[in-house]
Amino acid sequence: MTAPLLRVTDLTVQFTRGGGFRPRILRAAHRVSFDLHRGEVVALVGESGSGKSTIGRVVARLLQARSGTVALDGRELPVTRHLRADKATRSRVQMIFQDPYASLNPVHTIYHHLARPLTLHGHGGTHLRSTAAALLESAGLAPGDAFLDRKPHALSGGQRQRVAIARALAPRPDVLVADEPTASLDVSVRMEVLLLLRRLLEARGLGVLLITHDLAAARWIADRIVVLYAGQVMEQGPAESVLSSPQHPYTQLLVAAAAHTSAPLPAGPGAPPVIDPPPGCPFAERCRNATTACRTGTIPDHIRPTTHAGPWVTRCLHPGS
Amino acid sequence: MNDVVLHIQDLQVAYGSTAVLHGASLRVSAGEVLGLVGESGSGKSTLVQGALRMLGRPAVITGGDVILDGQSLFDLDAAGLRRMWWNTVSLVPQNALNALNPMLTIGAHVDDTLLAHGITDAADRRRRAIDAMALVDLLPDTLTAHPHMLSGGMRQRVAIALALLLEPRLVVFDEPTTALDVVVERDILDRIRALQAERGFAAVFITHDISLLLTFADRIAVLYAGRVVEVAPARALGGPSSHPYTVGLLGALPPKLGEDRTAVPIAGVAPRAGQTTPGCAFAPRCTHASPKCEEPQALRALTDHHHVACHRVAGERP
Amino acid sequence: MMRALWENPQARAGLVVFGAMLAVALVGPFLVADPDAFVARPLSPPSMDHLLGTTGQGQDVLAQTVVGARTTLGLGVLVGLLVVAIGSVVGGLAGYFGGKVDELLSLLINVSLVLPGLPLMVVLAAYLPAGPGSMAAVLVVTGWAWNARVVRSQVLSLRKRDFVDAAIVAGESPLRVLVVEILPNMASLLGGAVIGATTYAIGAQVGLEFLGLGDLSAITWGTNLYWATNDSALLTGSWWTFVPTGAAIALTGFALALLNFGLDGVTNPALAAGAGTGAPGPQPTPVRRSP
Repeated sequence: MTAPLLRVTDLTVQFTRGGGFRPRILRAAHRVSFDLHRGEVVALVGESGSGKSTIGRVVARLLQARSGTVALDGRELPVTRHLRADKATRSRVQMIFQDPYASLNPVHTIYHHLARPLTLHGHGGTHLRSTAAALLESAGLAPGDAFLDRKPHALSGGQRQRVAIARALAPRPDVLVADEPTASLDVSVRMEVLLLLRRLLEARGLGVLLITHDLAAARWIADRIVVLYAGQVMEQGPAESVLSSPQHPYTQLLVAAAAHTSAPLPAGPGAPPVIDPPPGCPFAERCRNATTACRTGTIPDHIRPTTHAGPWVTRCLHPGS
Repeated sequence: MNDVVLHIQDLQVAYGSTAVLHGASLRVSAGEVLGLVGESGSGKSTLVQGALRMLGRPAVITGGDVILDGQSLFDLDAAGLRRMWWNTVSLVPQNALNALNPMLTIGAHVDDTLLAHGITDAADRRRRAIDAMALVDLLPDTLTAHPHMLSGGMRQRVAIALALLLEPRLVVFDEPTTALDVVVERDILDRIRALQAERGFAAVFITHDISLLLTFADRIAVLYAGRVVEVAPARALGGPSSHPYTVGLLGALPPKLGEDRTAVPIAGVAPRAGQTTPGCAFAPRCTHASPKCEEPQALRALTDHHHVACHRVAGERP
Repeated sequence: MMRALWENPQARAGLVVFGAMLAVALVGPFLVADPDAFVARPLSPPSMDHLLGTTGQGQDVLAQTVVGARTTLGLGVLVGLLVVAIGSVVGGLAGYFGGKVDELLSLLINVSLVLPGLPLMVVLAAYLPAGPGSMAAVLVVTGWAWNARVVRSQVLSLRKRDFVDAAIVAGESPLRVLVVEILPNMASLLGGAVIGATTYAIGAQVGLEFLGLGDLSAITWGTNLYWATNDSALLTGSWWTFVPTGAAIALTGFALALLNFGLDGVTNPALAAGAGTGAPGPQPTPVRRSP
């Protein structure tokens, strides 16, 4: 296996809620580790409160981590220190947001949205307008020139998301963090956007960190999948394998619920314990196989090497039951 | 048709001078779930809320008729409609947080609703409130909580309890699980089914998630560009006699586990709300389009339960 | 935006009237007599020679009203712009950076708000040397904090929007994000703030001068009123010495208020469409079948 483009190791993100005598700790992510290789899509999946968006934002340097490391091509990024990142670092990791309307500034033209990152990272110059138009075309908006002078409200949701993708590509990044890029789009448009990401990734040798709650889309487009619950990695491995025969009880629950059948689920609904979390496995209180050992101490990782796409890791005392 | 609770006939709605719904017809019977699916600009919320005359300014109904439980809604005055609303038909909105007043407790919401509909005895209201919470498996002390203290799933259960307070004949669910996680969504869907079996109300379930409806709904109505293009039993949807748009929509979804196909997006762009053509609005994107598609396409019956607005599909039936 | 404002009847009325006042202030002084000169018997009522009569010191009231407009309006608009500019900078920085910066600047804003405005104004005006500079200083010092607060809270809420994060990830500097990305989204708020601040500036200026705390040798609407009371206008029933100036002030305030309403109507179309019919409860969608 070649060296990873992005290596996240033991990432922990915490927030303090409420002051006074006993402020509470909101643990958004706890000792999360995973790799992303060039030409690969790694999907971070989980429900709300899983920490997937938080991790994405730390990688994109929008949030500060409490501890852990994020390394890009072997070089560590200062994710636990002050957020001010220099332009060179910024150019390497870019982000696409969930709501394409909210991620574009309503008072500015599409040209402004593209010209700024192009200029900031030295790809501007005399042919700025044609470069911007070419970027739009590579994101599937043709002819690019026709869109440059419009404002976001004149475009459809799918078109806006393509503009957002074009903008993210302007600094020529290595890593693209896509935070629920299709959740706000119409169903018939979602596939287009995901296929576009896949095409661009292969053409430009990027790595894509896809954050999503849509398991079917993750299975379709991702190479590896990382399943998160209450900020911890429950299971990670080749997407197809993990989703067709999930080993962790939480992954089994997600897969069963997403299948839209009428078969009863292995566990009921419940909220992940993120505030002042108890020791042991966070899923223990909902898991029907949980034992006392699950609620105390550290849970070991079961590692199954695979022939492709890296190892299959399950953090569970009773995997595969 | 047994016990048809809601009958929408050729409904036309406009926002100001822009027509957004160009003649839609639907029927829902007691005890059945009619799924209503469409993308943005299709008019799915406009259809149901317009039919119930719940749309605010500048919406105006420009044609058709709506019969709810035998009564034409278009003949009623404001007072009559307000009696209908919540008594005979109620609405569970997309985001309960938007529909609930953040300053009031859940108990206050329940109390207000009961008072507004003439339940004057305080003890009676108290009893009904506790029953309402029990109906959705919430403890009575939920009545003392404010909306923001509850999780998304709990708020949606409160919204369902409120909708069922006066035992309506029809409940409209407008994207009730879109903002919820998949496990919570499953719980809500199971509850709706169980309550329906118990109470026997008719349900209209509006969503953009067609895969959900395939196993949840009895019949599904597909909306495109302000018109109903297909109404079919859930199992028959997407088959050989389905509308090309439905087939395209199902084909654009990522394949399920064990399914052997490639997801194919639909070419072209959907018309925006308000754009209209006399013929089939899907023709520009349809691989089987012919000159006949420029004529108005009415919903043709393939069987008693399956209607399609496509001359090609309807014409092929023996 | 300007076109939308013009189409709104209230904004148009406000713009026209205020524009007329500004025109009078700019051009008028060239068309009237010397307001300082003794032209006729003091306290003579309006006549053909002197359309608005004379003051208690024999000066032409029309000339004084017209000339007074220049200083009052000029200073009013200038102070209005300054107050919003300073408030935007302080409030913007506080709202954007948050944390310690916000704590420090909010402390500054809150202290300024808590200090009693009128006594502070009076004290400052009494001690500073008379003149337009001092007047401007007094008004700005006592008026900037409220705007800062408003701008701060709006910036705080816009800061959370995804397009701000997108600009940061793209590598924009904080100052550029604030000025180029956030502030343009507040154009209508800032426009309304300028109108409000100008109204405040004119009113406060007139008030201070009426109390005798302004530059008594200058000719402004405020000093006109001061001298009118000083020269026993009310006792002698010489209404023409203060009614013209008072009417001009009222008209200006009215015009600015109309402009503000119009601006609200343009930025919030629901307001422009007209309020509810007054009937209780939600109104059902009307049914209108076309013939």
